[in-house]
Amino acid sequence: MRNDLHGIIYTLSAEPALRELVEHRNSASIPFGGRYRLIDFALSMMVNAGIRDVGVIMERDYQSLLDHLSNGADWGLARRSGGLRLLPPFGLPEAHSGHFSGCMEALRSVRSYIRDITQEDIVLCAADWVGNIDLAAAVELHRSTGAEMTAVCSEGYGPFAHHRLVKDPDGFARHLLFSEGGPGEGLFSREIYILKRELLLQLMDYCSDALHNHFHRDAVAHYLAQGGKIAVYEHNQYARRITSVRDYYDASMELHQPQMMAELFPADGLPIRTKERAEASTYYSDTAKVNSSLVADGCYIEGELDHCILFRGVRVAKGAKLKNCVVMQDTVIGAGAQLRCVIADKDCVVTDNCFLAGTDRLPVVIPKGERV
Amino acid sequence: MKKECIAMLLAGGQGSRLYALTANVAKPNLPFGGKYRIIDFPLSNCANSGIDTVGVLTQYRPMKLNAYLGTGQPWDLSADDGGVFILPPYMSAGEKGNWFSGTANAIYQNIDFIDVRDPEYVLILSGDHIYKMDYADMLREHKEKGAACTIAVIQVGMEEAKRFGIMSTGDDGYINQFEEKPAHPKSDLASMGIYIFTWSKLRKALIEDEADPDSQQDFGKNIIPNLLAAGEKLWPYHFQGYWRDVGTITSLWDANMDMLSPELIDLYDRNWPIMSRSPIRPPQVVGPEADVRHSIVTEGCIVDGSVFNSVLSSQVTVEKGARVEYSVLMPGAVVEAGAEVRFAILGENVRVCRGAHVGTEPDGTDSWGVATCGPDVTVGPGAMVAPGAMLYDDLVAT
Repeated sequence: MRNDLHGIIYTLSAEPALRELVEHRNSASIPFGGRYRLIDFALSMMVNAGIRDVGVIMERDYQSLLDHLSNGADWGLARRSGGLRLLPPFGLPEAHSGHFSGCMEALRSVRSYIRDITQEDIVLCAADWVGNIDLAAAVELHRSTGAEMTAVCSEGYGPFAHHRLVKDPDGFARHLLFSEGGPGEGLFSREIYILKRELLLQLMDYCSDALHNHFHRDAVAHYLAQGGKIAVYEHNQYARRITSVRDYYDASMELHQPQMMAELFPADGLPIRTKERAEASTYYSDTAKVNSSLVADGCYIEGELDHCILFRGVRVAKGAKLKNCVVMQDTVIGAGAQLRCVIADKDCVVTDNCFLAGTDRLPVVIPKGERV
Repeated sequence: MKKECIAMLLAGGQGSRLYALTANVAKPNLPFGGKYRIIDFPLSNCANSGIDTVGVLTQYRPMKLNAYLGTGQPWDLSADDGGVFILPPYMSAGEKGNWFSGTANAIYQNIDFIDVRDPEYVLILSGDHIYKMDYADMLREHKEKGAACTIAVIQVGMEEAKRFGIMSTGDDGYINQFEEKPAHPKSDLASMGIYIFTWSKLRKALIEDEADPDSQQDFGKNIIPNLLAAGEKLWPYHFQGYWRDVGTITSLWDANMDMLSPELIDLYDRNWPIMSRSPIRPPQVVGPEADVRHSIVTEGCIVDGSVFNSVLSSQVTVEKGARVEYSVLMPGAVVEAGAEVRFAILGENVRVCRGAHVGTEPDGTDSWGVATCGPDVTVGPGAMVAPGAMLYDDLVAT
């Protein structure tokens, strides 16, 4: 069944507050939730809505992302016609620094790709968030209201929730508010938009002529100023952006709440897909003591875990005690090591009897491949 | 399209000694060892040994097995010039078409499939064995010894030897006698049901055997003895390592328990991964009240009860206050609060309701055995499933 939708995900430079987590990757490929990368949430959202063509705009540090996405087969996007299209920076003016100052500039760099899209509507979003959004329902609203542009919005106020839309009585938003501090009026934009391809091209042309680079400040504001209106799809289940180490840690610990897990990974649909790996099941030895933890396959656990997240292929030796830790792929925790509020990136080695502790507000990050 | 060696995997058996577990699926498709299906082992061995073309001979209840195999992509067997090919019995012009009447007949009926690939050698595998083996090493020995057929053999006890095809060897090391399930075995070298044949020799033997009206068209009973009688060279390939046939409830349970002993078979070896097709599920959730020890657990599981010495496949739920010991839980099984499962196999999507009991510890009596619940069965609240029982239908407490 073909639908008339095309997905575009932009994976721009990572926020500096993500520190060691983005030393070797951009934020789209930060490992999250035991077996995922952040981009899996955006990609799965699109695939679950029946989208079969997705372009991924890349800016820099995208080697890890390329490795993760490969040909898109794990998301059902390895296709003869369409499927996953990787769009690394190319064809920029020579003087360009290779750094996009905004989403509109990134889109401009792939203008010919967008021009050749055959579908009527484009779904546009970033890849630095965690959530499971029923995009098909948003598309239904987009179609039934006849909107040119539909925004996915949420109640409340979170980090980076400063683009706010206020609905008029007819359900459309006609004003974009910028609120830097405190909760503002209306709903905040999740920065996931469904819009007509023609409209996007027009907005790109406008921004190009005016040297505007930002999606909200420039493109959306211009569209509304011209009398445009935005349909608003409300998503009030779990979702959040990951823009700092602290965000990352908090979001990880939120996974220990059954409600969050149920919203993120519903038992009966909207699966979050990711790159498959050949793994055995996880082994718990006689000495293992594991509580309130999320554990991927292929782990080998002889130690104690409390409120931890283990990615695939992690080994925790006897006598090791981990509390409130995130341990990424293939990292080895030595015997007797004690870790608290630690995020260990992939391929790390924590040697025997090592002691490391951060706090909830300031978790310790062990960078990828380090030996402690 | 010339290939040096292709594999033919016999996956058509019913597995009748597994009763309710194989009532609706072929044995090779049974969940095993948490993450796997039995057929993952020979398929992964093929991929890891560099064999890229595998014909899978199906017959009994193949629907789910076919769906599981798909294009062979999870085992890296979806290359352009190779792949997994499902080979069911078929009709030919002017003939009625026949079911596979024996293991040799199954290959005979697919001579065309093999001829197209024009291999020098054909590897014959079973879909019901748990082991890791480098077939490339076996092929090297086959070539070195100039054999018509090389048979993988493993040492078993003299008592056990009665259940197997038993080989005797001469001073030169070649096989000089082969007896299928002998009452008085002369050696303890058992055939593992894994053969490499020089294709030209096997092709001839299959055609001759097909013409023999008295033949059972079986590798162990006919083809191997015929080759031996014809003076062909048969070489035993001595296999060291873990190997189990999982044809019965007890052996299936035993082999699953073996997966809890990584010193028997290392499933975490990156150099020889056992690959499988996995459902898309989040990581396993181990709850605040959980106690999981000496067990293996798979993605999609939710465990908040006690799990000891057990094997949990994907999407198994063990609720708070439930107890699971020495048991094998296939995908989707649910053990509700206060229920106890001991020395049991729960088929796919079995539900053990509140306060129900399945199986008991061994009591030393002959009647004791592993309790088995067939797929999709519900054991009602407070119901009891006796040790050794084989449950085909829902059970309500009496």
